[in-house]
Amino acid sequence: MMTPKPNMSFKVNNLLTKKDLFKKICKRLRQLDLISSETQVVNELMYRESLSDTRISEECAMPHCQSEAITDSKIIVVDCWDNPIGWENKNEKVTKIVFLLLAVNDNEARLKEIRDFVRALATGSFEFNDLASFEMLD
Amino acid sequence: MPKVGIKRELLDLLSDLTDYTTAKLLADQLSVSTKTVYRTIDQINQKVGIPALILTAKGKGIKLNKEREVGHRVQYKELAVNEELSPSRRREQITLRLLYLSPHKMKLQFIVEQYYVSESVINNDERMMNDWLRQFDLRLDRENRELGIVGDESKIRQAISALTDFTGIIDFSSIDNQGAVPLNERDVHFIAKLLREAENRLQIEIPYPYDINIFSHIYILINRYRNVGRKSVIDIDDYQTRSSLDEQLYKCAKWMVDKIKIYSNLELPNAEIIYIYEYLESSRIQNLTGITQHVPEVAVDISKEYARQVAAKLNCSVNDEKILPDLINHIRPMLNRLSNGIYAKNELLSQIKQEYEKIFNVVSEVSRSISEQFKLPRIPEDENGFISIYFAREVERSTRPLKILVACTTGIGTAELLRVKIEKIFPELEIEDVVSIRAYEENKKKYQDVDLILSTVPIKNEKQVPNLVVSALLGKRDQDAIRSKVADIERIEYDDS
Repeated sequence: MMTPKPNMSFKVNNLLTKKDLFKKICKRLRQLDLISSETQVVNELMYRESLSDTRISEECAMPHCQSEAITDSKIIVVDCWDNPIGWENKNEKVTKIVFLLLAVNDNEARLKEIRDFVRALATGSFEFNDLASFEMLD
Repeated sequence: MPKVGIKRELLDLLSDLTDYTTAKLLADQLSVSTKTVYRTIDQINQKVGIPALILTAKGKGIKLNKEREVGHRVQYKELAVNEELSPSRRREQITLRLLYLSPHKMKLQFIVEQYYVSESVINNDERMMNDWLRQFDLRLDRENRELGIVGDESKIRQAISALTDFTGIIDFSSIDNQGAVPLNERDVHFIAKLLREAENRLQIEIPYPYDINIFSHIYILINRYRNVGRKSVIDIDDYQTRSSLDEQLYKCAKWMVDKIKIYSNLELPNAEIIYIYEYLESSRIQNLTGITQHVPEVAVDISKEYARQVAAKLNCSVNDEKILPDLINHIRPMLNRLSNGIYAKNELLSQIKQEYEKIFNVVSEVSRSISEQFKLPRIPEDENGFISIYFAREVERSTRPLKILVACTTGIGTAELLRVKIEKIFPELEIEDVVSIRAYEENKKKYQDVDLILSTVPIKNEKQVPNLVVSALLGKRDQDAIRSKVADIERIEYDDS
């Protein structure tokens, strides 16, 4: 089975908070017509964060949501090695990578892709070398 | 009707006093009316019968009848003549009476008169009593038409313990519970209070059945000394060679013996301190660091040997990680009990034998082999019963893995990651599915057989299926929480079974 690859990858070039990061990514996705409402998706992501922390290790986080405002499911990788993201507060930062998972409500095939990606990540079979070139987040 | 707690509190207060006190003073200390004090006294006295346990005298006040039963040679109300006794009950009572009197003897004529039986019946009883006593290395001795029991003091106390039903006595939230137990109420009250105070002093909890073991030991000790005085001194040479005693436990044992001396007005030898010390140390004492932490290598080796041999004989796999901590925790004090001749009565033995016959037989067989292998005294069947329980739990646990449902808001992000982590860390758990909370709520029926839901977000209004919120990090705290929850579920399943 082919391991699904991330669809998009960004690099953070200044110090951001979690909410700032979501806003910036959603703004870009809106420009690309991949979501229909920036505010709705940001709110969905923040709501999920309010339920429990999505950090999956000391250095990585996996924010995610499923929303009607998402027109196409996406696996997005954000490189924050140079500019760690203040996650819970200024002192608790995500220092390496954010995996942002956005899912369309009812596309089972795309949901499976996301699941396979997460499994590959968890079992260590995902190669970071496979990543496409990063787009700088303004 | 006065609350149950007041009876105990009232007895506590009175047992601390040597002279008469007033109802007003007692009422103030108990925060009740004087009327309630008198009513409670009436109830206690009615319960225990004549002579009254609490004395009330006009112009003097109220005090505990410390003479009650003290000085009476016969401690058991049930020793009174009862024409309707079955033969086995009669033999038990005669044996118990002779055990308390040992090494003194009892006239045959007295037994004949007390139990309305002929000498030939007693002759027959004698054979059966001897058979029973043999397991404790004791024997009946008949001389000049007198009957007695001879043997080591420690064995005599073991036999008394085996014949006396101490069940439920320690947890006497109500003295009413004692109605069926033919023990000296004042002694029962004193010892229960002594144990509570010892627990407080040590900041520990003495768990069942060890609390009953200590209780019965002290009860028997007091009554043996009352009956035969220093003839009941235990041979304790071996203990004097003991090099390392835990200071805290020893101090507590000494304090307990001092309290017993004052209470019973008996001179007890220092050997009794060591004996109570051994009981405390042989209990699976919880919370006491330093004692429970150090586990002798032999206890670990024996536990491993049990796990290996029992699993092989039962032809099943036993999860060492699960069973060994419990087994070691039992075997360590058991070795102490075996070397010191302490008899741990297992009140559930007959039930265990009946419900887990195969496991009990296998454990008994393995115990015999382990006794030989490790040069231990014979392991009593009561201990085999305790050990069987650990294996029974393990066998039932290994036959059905727990079904786990992993959930998060979407079922695609952290939940999927959690699934992989759980599979790695808890291979014994069976992951039924990974779902979004919404999917779960819409298909609850489909997941009704699930044993536990592990979720990265709280599930609202879920009362049917046990659930636990864990972080996607699944750190040590999360792992411990899962272990504890799984153990709870398995315990409930085991209890239900």
